[in-house]
Order: sequence, then C-alpha cells, then structure tokens
Amino acid sequence: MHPYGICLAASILVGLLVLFLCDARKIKDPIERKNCIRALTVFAVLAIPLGLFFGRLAFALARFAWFRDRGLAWLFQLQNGGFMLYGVVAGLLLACVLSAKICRIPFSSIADLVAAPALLTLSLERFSEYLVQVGYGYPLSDWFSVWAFSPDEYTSMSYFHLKDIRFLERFPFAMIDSHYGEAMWAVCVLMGLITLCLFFILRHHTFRRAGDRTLIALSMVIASTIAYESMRQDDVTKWGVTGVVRAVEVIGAVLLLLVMLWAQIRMQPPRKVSAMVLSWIYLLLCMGMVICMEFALERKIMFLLWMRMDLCYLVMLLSCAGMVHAVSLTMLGRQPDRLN
Amino acid sequence: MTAKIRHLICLLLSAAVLVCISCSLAEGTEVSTFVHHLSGPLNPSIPLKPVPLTPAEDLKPLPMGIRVKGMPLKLEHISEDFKEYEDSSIHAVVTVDYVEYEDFKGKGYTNCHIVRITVADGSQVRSGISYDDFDGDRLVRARMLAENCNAVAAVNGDFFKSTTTRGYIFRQGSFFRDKANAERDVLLIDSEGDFHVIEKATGKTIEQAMQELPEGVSAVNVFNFGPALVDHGKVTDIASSTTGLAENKDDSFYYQYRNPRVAVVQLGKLEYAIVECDAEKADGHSGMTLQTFADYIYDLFPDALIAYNLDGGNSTNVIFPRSGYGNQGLEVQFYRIHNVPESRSLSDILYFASLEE
Repeated sequence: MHPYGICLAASILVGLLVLFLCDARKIKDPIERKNCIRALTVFAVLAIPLGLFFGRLAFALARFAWFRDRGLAWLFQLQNGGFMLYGVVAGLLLACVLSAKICRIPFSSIADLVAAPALLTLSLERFSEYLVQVGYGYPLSDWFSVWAFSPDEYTSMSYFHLKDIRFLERFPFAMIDSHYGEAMWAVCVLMGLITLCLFFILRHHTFRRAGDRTLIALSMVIASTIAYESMRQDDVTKWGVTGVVRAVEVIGAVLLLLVMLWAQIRMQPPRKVSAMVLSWIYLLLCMGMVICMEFALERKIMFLLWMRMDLCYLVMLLSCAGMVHAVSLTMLGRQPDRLN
Repeated sequence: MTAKIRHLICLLLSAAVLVCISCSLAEGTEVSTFVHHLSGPLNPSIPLKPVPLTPAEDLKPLPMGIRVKGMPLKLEHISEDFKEYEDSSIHAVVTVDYVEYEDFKGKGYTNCHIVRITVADGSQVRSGISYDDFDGDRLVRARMLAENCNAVAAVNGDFFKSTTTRGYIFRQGSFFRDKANAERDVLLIDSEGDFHVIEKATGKTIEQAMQELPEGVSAVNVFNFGPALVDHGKVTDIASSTTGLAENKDDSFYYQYRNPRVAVVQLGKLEYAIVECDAEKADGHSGMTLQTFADYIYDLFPDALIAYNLDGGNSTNVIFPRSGYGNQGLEVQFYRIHNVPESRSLSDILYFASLEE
C-alpha cells in the first residue's frame, strides 16, 4: 500500500475520532446524543464510499476529454489521476442528507457536527500530499534569484533576493522534486496549516443558527482551495483551448456564489436589502481581486507589473479570507454597512 | 455643369477611392523594415553566418529514446561572457539584436536574441518532455527541463500537454497521439537533423511525409504549432497562410498582434538558429506581429531553409548555459536568455545536445 493511502486513511480516522469522541459527546441531552451518534455512524459508513466516488466522478468530468480517451475503466483505477475536492464535499453532503433521512434527525444537526472534523481531515490530507510530491509551487531558486540572462534585467518572482536558500530547501518549507532534484515550495504544507487554523476557528466559534457552521465550513473549504489551486504548479485541471483556466478556481467561484445565495435565502426577516446588496458587492469585489491577481501573476495587467508574485499571493489570500468574511457576515445576520 | 464634366468628376472620385482602398489594403501586407544593433561574442555582421565547428572523429551519435539525454556540459566550454558554448560536437553563440522596425502598426523596437548552433550529428537535435512522461500533464520550468536534458541551447516546444484534443505527438521516435486537425503547419525533424514542413497537416499527411523520407532516414520529432515563417528562401504571407487559424480565434496565436515570439530555424545542413523576440509582456502591444517576425527572420537569414514558429507569448523560453556558484561550488547553470517576464512552466522543449563525453 502506498504511504499516501495510509496517511489518507489515518486522516479520515482522526476526523472520525474527533467527531465521535469529542464533538458528539458534547451534546448534553442523552436522547439527542444517542440519535446523533447513530446518525453519525450511518454517516461514517456512507461518507467514505460516496466521498471517494463523487470525488473521482468530479475529477473525471472536469477532465472529460482525458477521461473519454481512456474509457470507463480508468474511473476505477484510483492509483491513476486523482480526486476533486468539491466532488468529495458533494459526497459528504449527500451522506449527511441520507443519514439524516435514515435516522430522522435534521440535516443541519449532522452537517454541523461533521463540518469541523471534516476540515481537520482535509488539513491532514493536505500534509499527506507532501509524501507523494503533490501540491508544490514554484522552484525556490526561481523564486528568489535573478534568473534573466543579464543581471540588469531583474525579473525574479519575489521582492526578496536570497543568495543562500539552503535553509529553506527542507520540510516544511520545500519538497525536493524526485525527478529534477529541485526544491519547490511545499504549498500543500502551507494550505494544511491554514486549514488546521480554520478547523480551530470553526470548532471554537459558537453559531446562533443550525446550519451556519456548515455554510461557513463550505465557504472556508472553497476559498482556501481557490488559493491553493492558484499557488500549486503541479498537475492541476485546466480548461480552455489554450489550457490556462484552472478548473477548480472557476468551479469554486460558482460554488461560493451558491453558498452566498443559500446563506441569504436563510436570512431571517426583516431582510435589509441594502445590506444584502453590500454583502454581494463585498463578495464580488473579493472575487474580482482574486481574478485580478491571477492576471497579475501572468503579468497581463500593465499597471500591476510592479507586483511580484509574493505580493500577488498575499493579496489573493487576503481576498479569499474576505470571501469567507462576506459569507460569514450574512450567516451571522450582520451585513457590512461599509465595504472597508 | 455639362454631363461630360459630371461624368469626369465621378470617374476621378471613383479612382481616388480605389487608390485609397488599395493603399489601406496594401498597408497590412507591406514588408517590414528593420534596423539592427547587433552585439555578441563574434564579430557581428549582416547577414549572420552559421557558426563554425571542427568536429572530432570519435563522436558517437546519441540514441533515439525520450529518456536519453545529451552529454553533460563542461564549464571549460562556456565563454567568459556566457554567450558562447563550444566543444568538438557543438558550437552555439548568442547574439543580441536591439532592433528597430516599422510594420503596418507603425514604428516599434525590441530586443531579440539569436542563438546560432552548429552540430556534428543529427541526433543532437532532440526534444525533451516534462517528467519524461507523455501521459501526465505535470509541467516544469524550462530551465529545469534544459538542465535535465543537458541542453546546450533549448527552446520551448509546442506545449502539447496544454490540451488533449489536438496535435500529432511524436517525440524522439515515440508516437503518443494523433489529433492533427488540418489547421496547423507541422514541423517534422528527421534523424539527419533536417526540417520538413507539412502544411495544414493531418495524421495521414504526416505519416505519408514520414514514409517519403529517404532510405535510412527516419522521423524523430514532430512539432504542432507553426505556421512555417520562412520556407526555402520564401517568407510566408501569414494572413493568407493562416486563414484557417484566423477563423478560429483561439488558434490564431494573435498573429496580428505584437507579442513575444520564438522560432527555430534550419540555416543549412546541421546548422540552426533559435530566434526570439522580447516584449515587456504578452499583451498584444509589445514584441512583434507574426508577419513582422517572419520578415525579421528572413532579414537576418535570407538563405534559411525553414523557419518554424513555436509557442510564443508567455511560453517563450530560450535557455542557455552559464557558470555559477551552486551547492556544489562552481557549476553549469541554465538561464533564460531573454527578458520576457516570468513565463509559465512548460511541457516540452526542443534542444541541441553535446556528444562530447
């Protein structure tokens, strides 16, 4: 068995342990606790196959031409290709719906319980990607050095020009590409850490309404995945004739809009239209900023040529945080009156 | 006013309109003019000549496979200014040309880099692909690909991993995919290192061209980008040759806009050049239009056999070795020779290797 498979299984196990031993036990009412544990058991049984299946299916659909050339059997060759996170999330949501139906408890009760442990599992899975050299960014030597032919032509990626980068050429900062021997930024570790932080934030925050935790967790997963996909330079699904549109980012943007819509539909009256509009503007501004940074990274915006990649990614991460913030303000029933 | 005079005025006006229309139409097809400011290690002169090579007798050709790389480069063969590499099997020289030009869009100027290469054997003209893997779509920085292949000079290929739906993919004698759709000119490189262009190629026409190669000569690489810019002393009229491409906007390579461009040129038997034009960025305003680029190459090398356009824009990468201090002390390092800002990672390169052990 591949070490990544073992780590993935361990990540799921840790998530389930937190779910059953910590979160489910916090429910004070013994009857409700018993019902929830029963529903969570059903969820655990359903979630793994459904998550794997939908993750794989979404991956195959996103790479339809690739998939079509290789035939149906390729869908089940799990060692080839990968999974799409949004498919896995869809599988988990479906497992929540089914287990709620089977055990006759509200969907939101199950989904809220699952949300934080799912983020923990995702965080551990991100760390596991280090083992299979997935989720890496640019080579460190390119990032820090002046690599144009003429030293006068400063075209490096970073504002920092480090001559000695040996300190960074190790875990957790970088992974060494086994084929080329180059140290590449370990983006998966960074995103694992960010997701771990999101797990703690989600777990220790109290929410007023059932379902809020799930929606915020969804927005966190989507926003962090958008940033992750932009940073990674390995095998990412791309669309378009010239193959430059990162599929996961496009799908993520659509899903985030749906989450926002769902959150606003759930808003309790009296609904303040101006506040709702401001929330949308806030979200769309953040999305626009992410798109702008994508073009700035490709150096296609003249007035942003001065921005190096490290600043572009910083702005992108802040914009992703802003997207979660815009959604969370709607969830909490408070909308931004001002945009700054 | 008599009817005759009115008739005459009408005729004169019609003639004037016709002249104006003709002039405006001619504007787009007018051949560009160039003023060169060349600099480089060899005494620069126009036309640029292929660089000389005195090959050793005991050189062995490189085997065909995609996993076979060139011989490791040696520091002592790199010149002090990092613009020349010379051993007994290969001689490569970089010349920089600050060029002023005038095309139908008006005056322009840009830096161009010309790498002239002479090799001893056809097996030194090779291709490399990211992770030595046709099927995956992991990309890699061009300089890493060049380093992995021990390339004396390397240029980005046709980015065949950016799509699974087009192109006839044949590299170092291995066939991978036939999705040629009769829209692109294809470059076929044979085992003698000679270039052949197949216009608006389909799988059938490519395979036919392979079969028509002389006895003992086999196809080694096929590149799917194009169009051919110069073909045996004749500049291509891009607008008419790329009609099919122009109709498909995504496949036109913005030929009518100024952009970074790169092409590989066969100057003669085992003599080549890589010509690259810089731009501040790939925005359609700096660099050269494809027609100007074709004219520019013809202006540099009027006797060129074939000049073939490769993936330009942000994919533009030309890599050349230099010496530098790394983890192991002074070592051979690989650098992009031009100032096109941070380009994207690539799936493939065309490179020239050394045979000297």
